Order: sequence, then C-alpha cells, then structure tokens
Amino acid sequence: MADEIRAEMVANVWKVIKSAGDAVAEGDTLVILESMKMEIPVLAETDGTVIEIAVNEGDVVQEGDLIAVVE
Amino acid sequence: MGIQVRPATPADHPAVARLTVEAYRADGQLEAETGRYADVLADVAGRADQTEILVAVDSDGGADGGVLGAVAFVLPGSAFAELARPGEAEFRMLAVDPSAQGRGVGQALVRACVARAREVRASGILIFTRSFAERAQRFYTRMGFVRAPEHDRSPMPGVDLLALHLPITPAEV
Repeated sequence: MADEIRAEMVANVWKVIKSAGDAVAEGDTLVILESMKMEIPVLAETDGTVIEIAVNEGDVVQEGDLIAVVE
Repeated sequence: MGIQVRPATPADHPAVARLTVEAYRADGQLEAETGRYADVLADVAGRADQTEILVAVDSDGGADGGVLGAVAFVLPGSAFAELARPGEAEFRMLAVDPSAQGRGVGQALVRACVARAREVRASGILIFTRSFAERAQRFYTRMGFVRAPEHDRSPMPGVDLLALHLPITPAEV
C-alpha cells in the first residue's frame, strides 16, 4: 500500500536524505525541512521502499504538498 | 574596536557557523522542540546561495578573522523567506558571538540589512523572534521595529514566533 507523506506546514527543503528505490524502515528520515526556527525531519511511517521523493533541496513546500511516497 | 559589515565569503563560513550556533544556544533557542536546528544554523554554505550573508568584523582583526556576528538577508522568492511579501525584505539568523555582545555588533548588522532593503526599494523589513526572546524584542524595538501580530505563527506547541516590522523610508536624494 502506497503511503503518501505530505508537508504539515510551509517549509524550506533543507536536505533530501533518501532517494527513489531506497529501502527504509519506519522512522527513517526521508527529507529534512527547515522552517520557523526549527529543523523538521520527515519520517517514513512504514517499512518499505521509497517510490518517489517529490521535492528537491531548496524547494519551498506548502502545507499539504507531497513530499514522498513509500510503499 | 571598529565594526565593519561586509558580505561573507566562503572563508567566513566556519566562523559564521560557530558563532551562530553558540549565540542561539546561549539564548536557549536550541532546545528539543527545535530538532537539530543547530545543524541548519551551521550549514552556512547551504543558505549562501539563497540569502545574502553579511558578517560584522572587528577592524582590528582577531580570532576567526575578527568575525563577531552574522545575519542572512532574505528577499521574497528565497526558500528561506518566511515573512516577506513581494516588495518587502526580511532577515534571519542574526547572531552575535556571545563574547562580543553588547558592543553594537547586532545593531550594525541590522542597519546593514535595512540599507540593503532600501537599495532594493523594499517598503519594509521583517523579523521573527521566539516569544521568550525578550532581549531580542527590546533590541528590535529600540531600533524602531514595531510588533506585527498579524504575521505571528505558532507552528507547534512550545514554538511561538512573534513578528516585528520596520517600515523603510526611501533614501533621500
């Protein structure tokens, strides 16, 4: 089952850690956002494989934007 | 001690990283709720292409090439922009080495940001402070900033950001 991970707030994509095809475990950091004086890791919510990372470093994401898909 | 503000070069990045993390830590702004924000603050190269990093240096030199403080001047469209709407400017990550605070370094950096904002014909300049950073709020108020509560944000429990705004008057001709 594909798990779509979306941004919870407006943020700057500071680091992209994982790539499509990577195997991940629940809790692994996929992407790190920077916003509002905080560093916000975006975590895999299930074990699986990264199908897509939908952002690049330096992108701005809006609340609800797709960040990654894990299956 | 003379203070000069100039654009940072890559050679300044290690000093900017060190003093920014130390200043935030000394002010209690790197507690658990902010994640590993110290890593973001230390990644000076990672913001150098999306912001204008200015450094305040001691004209007499000293450790770290005399770098005493730093700030990132930000225009709308940058990934680091959080407050500025089109026609406005903002700055972020203003930090003065804890050992150099109280000597006007921060004021010199803010004045330089205001000057840059005026150069790009911005109508105003904005800054976020943490709600508990009363010293920073007094500092900005002394420099003419006024609270802009319509921009305040509380992205998560324990992180309350207060916005301040300074209108920019065009340069006199």
